Amino acid sequence: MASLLVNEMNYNPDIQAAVQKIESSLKHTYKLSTRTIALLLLQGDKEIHQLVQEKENSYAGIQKVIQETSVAFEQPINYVITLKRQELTNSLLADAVKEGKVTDNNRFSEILNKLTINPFTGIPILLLVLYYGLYQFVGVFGAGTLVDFLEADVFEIYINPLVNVWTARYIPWPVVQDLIANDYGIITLGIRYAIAIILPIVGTFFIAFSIIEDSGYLPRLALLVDRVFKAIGLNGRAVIPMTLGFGCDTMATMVTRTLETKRERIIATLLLALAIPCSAQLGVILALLSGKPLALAAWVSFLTLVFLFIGFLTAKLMPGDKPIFYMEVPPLRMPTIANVVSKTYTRMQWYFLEILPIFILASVLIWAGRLTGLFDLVVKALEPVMNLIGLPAEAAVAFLFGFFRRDYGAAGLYDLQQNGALSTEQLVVAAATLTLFVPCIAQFSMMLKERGLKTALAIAGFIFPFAFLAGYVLNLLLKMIGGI
Amino acid sequence: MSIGRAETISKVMSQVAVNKNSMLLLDAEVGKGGTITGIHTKDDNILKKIMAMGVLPGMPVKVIQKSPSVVFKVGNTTLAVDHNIAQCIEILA
Repeated sequence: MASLLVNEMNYNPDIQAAVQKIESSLKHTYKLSTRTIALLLLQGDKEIHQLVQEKENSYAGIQKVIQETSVAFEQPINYVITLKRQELTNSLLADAVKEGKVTDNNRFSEILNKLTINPFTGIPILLLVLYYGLYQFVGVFGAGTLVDFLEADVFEIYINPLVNVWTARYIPWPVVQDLIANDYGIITLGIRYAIAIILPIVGTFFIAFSIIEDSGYLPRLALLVDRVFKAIGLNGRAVIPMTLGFGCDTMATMVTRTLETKRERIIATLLLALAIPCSAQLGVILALLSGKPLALAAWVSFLTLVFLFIGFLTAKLMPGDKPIFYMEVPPLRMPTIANVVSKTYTRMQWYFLEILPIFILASVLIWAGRLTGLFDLVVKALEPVMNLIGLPAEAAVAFLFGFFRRDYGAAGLYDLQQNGALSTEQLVVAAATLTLFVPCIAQFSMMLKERGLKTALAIAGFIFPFAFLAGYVLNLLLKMIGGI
Repeated sequence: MSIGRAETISKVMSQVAVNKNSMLLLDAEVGKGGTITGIHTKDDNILKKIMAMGVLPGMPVKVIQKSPSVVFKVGNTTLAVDHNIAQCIEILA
């Protein structure tokens, strides 16, 4: 039976000698044993090296010992030490564990596994998941049925009129009345949008995402798209923030933390801010373009092109390490209701605590903007830009709103379309430009938190003119092919 | 589901010395199994990641798919890696 006493673990004599030499020159007390510190130094642990460099005068001498020892081996010392430990592990297991006959897993699970990781069957499966999960559940049920019920039935019939009447009765100043009620009030607009429009859409998205996540499907998606993501400077792991972005870009920007290199984090943040519509926006735009499949196709294709093009360009221009891709692929499992509920609940809770206050702030800002006339000034300034991309001047309001809440903006376009003010081509251009347009105020504040002031401003500064440039190009393209 | 026990490392290393049939994971045939015989890379980052995943000499390995990413099973774990990593892993069929 191999000895379990770590001190008796016999590494190569050269390494043993090095460990002893290093141990004797460590004067400080650490939380770990000096033997562990010595081994970690030999293995090249960056954090321990930094720690020892700060605390010990003998650091230079220690480095020399490491250098001399590494000459004695063909492979890195880290490798040699790890191999030795693995040998001990193997011999311990050989004595203690008996492997039974290998039984094949659930046949169905194996077949499904093979189907999801093979690109020929995997991509159709992905499209199926997107269609049922995203389009039907989030788009049609969430953005359609649920929103209609909450907005038209609950708010418009009961809550809004009640609020309007109460504020008219108890608050004498019209200015404050406008802050809370009427067209742009905190309750009648801000909270109504948060609860009646965003909540059902984001909620259904989080449910769908949690089911997919719990099944173990995401790593399979990651390994399919890794090559494509490499071309835009990311790797397969970025599939998680990117897909989350279709739910809520603000949360996705937070999740970019999990990407390993700074370069990847910046590229992902840029692409999220630019070309990934959040579920709220997606819901309204799908409603906007639902009657016209060609317009929808044009919008999707144009955005995909912009996404790939800008990703590719940024990857070429940004310096830094190229990412590598590695991921454990867990077995496919039936999602557990308890897990899905708890994941959805946590995300919804985050949404309410983080986003809702910003939403209310947005309402207040719009109110203040209208009061001071600043609002109208900005709208006037935007009008020539609207004409440039072939849109009527009225669309300017939608764009201004679009900064505060991306779906406010899309909803503004919806009103215009209902009144017949926009042709199909104009609709596509407006929808595409609005999607590319600067991130909403919540996402922007997350960008500031995650990437810092300079990077966030640089990204926003690029996106603003680029969105309109892209709108201009799209307008030209649509005119050239004779409209849709 | 396991695909075999780990061999002792010294036994594997001696086999490599004798049998010149070791190849890179990248070049191995899909569906074929083998044993990992070594990890060769100058990049410390990649080395640490590969070892942390449990990919070490002596471990049994089976290739499941090679495109678009290399998917393989090491012991009881299924892993997906890109070509950068797959070309560092040496196996014996």
